[in-house]
Amino acid sequence: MTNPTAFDFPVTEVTSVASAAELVELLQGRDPDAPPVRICGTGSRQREVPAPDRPVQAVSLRGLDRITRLDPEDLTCSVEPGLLRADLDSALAEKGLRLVCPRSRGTVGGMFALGREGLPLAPGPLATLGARALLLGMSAVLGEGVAFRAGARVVKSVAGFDLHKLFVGSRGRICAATELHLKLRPMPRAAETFEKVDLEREEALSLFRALRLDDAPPVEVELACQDPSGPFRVRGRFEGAAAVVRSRMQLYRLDATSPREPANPAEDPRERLFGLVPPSSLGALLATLPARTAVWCDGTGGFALRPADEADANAILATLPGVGVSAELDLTIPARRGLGTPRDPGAILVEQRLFAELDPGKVFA
Amino acid sequence: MSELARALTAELGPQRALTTPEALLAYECDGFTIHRRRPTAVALPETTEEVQWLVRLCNRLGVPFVARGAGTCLSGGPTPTGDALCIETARMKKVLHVEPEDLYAVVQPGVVNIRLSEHVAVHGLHYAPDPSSQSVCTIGGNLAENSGGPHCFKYGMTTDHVLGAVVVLSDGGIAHLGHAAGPREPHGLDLIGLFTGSEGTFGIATEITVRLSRNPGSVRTLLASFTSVDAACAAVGDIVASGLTPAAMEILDQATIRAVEASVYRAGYPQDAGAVLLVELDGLDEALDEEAPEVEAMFRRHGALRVEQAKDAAERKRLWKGRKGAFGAMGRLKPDLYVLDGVVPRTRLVETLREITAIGERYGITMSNVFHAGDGNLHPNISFDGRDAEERHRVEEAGREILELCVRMGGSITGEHGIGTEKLDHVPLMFSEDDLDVMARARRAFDPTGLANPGKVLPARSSCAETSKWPHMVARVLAESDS
Repeated sequence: MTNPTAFDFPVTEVTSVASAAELVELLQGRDPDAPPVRICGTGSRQREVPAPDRPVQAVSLRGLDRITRLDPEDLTCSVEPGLLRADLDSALAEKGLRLVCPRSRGTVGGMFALGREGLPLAPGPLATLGARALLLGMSAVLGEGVAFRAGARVVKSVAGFDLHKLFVGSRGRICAATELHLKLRPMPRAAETFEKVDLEREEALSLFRALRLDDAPPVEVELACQDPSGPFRVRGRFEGAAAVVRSRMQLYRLDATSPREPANPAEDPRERLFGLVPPSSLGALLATLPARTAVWCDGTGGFALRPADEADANAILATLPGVGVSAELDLTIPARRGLGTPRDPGAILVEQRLFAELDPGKVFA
Repeated sequence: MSELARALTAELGPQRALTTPEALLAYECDGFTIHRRRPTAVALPETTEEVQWLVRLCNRLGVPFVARGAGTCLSGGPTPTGDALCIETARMKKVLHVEPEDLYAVVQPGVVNIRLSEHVAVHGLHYAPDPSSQSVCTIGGNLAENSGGPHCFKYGMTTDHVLGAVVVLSDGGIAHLGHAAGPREPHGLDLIGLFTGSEGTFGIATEITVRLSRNPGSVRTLLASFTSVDAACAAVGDIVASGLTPAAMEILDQATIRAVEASVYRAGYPQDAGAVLLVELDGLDEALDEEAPEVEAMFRRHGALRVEQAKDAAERKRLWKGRKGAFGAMGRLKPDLYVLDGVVPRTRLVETLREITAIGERYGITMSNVFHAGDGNLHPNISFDGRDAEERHRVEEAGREILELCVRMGGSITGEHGIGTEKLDHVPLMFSEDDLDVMARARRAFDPTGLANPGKVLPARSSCAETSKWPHMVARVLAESDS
């Protein structure tokens, strides 16, 4: 179920739908003067997206929670958006399969709509399997209640425009997905998670760089600290042939540790700056950060900063463009969510036209 | 001389503004030779500013424009459907910036695919998407078509390697899509994801940021011959089920083998084989030392007649030569070649290929198959003489039936070649009127003037489901593919 306490903005009602047809009916029968609609799953990640500027009707897709098709030999499946990511992972594991994308909380639909996991995933070949490649196609509904399909169920198709890619990271502003077609991979033959702690800054950056640029890089690697002056932690995961995993662990003198459950970033009371930094600029970024700013970044440019307070966050936001970094504030009070670095006016214009074309009634908040 | 021709010549000079019928002849089609139409003129810009000027000129004169790379597209993507200015990017061939540490490069659209890999080889890097035409096709064309290639099974399509682009929109505006550190900005839509594969209908990319991949430590290329395509497909099924992810798995049928072996692309494939399967593994030696014998054992379990493993780079090149040259080799069979591009779930390859053979026999056409077996991406190739109207009609009808079959099997009418003009009438096999309407709305956001490569990707309303040339077929296939 959707957690009714997940919303820190005014919600007139929470409506649950149990099928695509119910969603179409709800949207088609909607009063034009009714409050806009906020699509949600469990509600666990509502604070990671900008808050609506007026009261909304929350429409929960959590009831659409089936795996509608699983073809292990074709390495594809179709799921409804309200399926919990954890439930999908369990079902796939039974068949020796997985979604090549870091585990996350909440629903599969929410994961793609937010578009954070599976963007910059990992260096090396697996990096190419970001969210845009995992999502092969979808069925969805526009705010006016028109159902449509895009993409396909097979692993390759370039027929039509890839509107399903537009869904990734759209935060429910373009359409509500009702079925997602996913690309799968076999479970790795061997895997090992590692972690090195209490590293000096240069030591951590050097290890992070070496791992990223290795001939057989880890599929996930992250660098983190609670203060830009250190100490630092480097954590990651090798996957693949047993001999390669073993050799890489030995080469970098890494100790195995247990895989972690996805953390709930909302438990940290500090606001977060989430963005992209070219990995080679990471050192420069660290040099600009005020003391007591916590830092996390992954091997292909995704990063999150936790400034000590609002003043620090504002100061960081002002300096980020100078180091080629793009970022946005989340996990903060509604009024500040969505503040970010400046964006290209041409891209903004195209986005505005897309919203005007695909959601002319401004149904989705 | 038309106003368009006068303006082009004045701005670009006669070397970069082609307006005579003889000069335009080379632009009347791409690799899809069934549809031909000469553009009104051809311009060869060198910079983003020149492309912007050309698009603004088109706006002023109300002339549509069509971007073109090397013209290797196989679906008619850069062939105009009416009067249009062809904007060829052949002179925009600079690698603008390489960032080896961050694994990306910024290139102009006319950079030839393989030249980029050669350019960054010094850093131990390469550009992964490798269409068969990679020695001539351009990155801009790859972006427009979302090109694939033999190594898609492991490395993905062009869309998985494009991080951003500077785009001239159809109204002459410029948009910067994506980000060098990732394909989508943290607070924006994935516009570059939507742009990729839009076949020039969303504007013209003038600078493209692509992801570079590290060269694998080692490569093992194996070739196995089998008595039948069925046996080769079964071996592929075993490889996938084993959990291995080869970089490529390619099958050539007997007709293709014989065409290749009779051509300059001769690779030493056994001509008595029913099919050959080319499998490439890449990674570190310690992994490949285990995986290559495993693959070989799977070949033998399925009755491989002969198994060969390349011992060095020269042998690897030879084994690939036949595959990469397959389409060229077929040029010897008849004057024209129609390369189809259907996709089916990999597990339905065998039954699909049997039906395709039956279709070919029914229409009395010369057909051969070469395909990306790991992806279920089929390329039935029909050799024909386009001067013979009756034969051309049979070829088109057979092609239509094959694509209909692919959709009925739960697949797609195109895996990597695009819709272009070739498959416009087949689009309603996959998408309903509502689907296409939503896509048309998305297109208007990029192309509000309607001048960017009109008549591509989305069929004109008159050829959608209800009024298609094959309305009964469309209704049936849509119903079956839903089930």
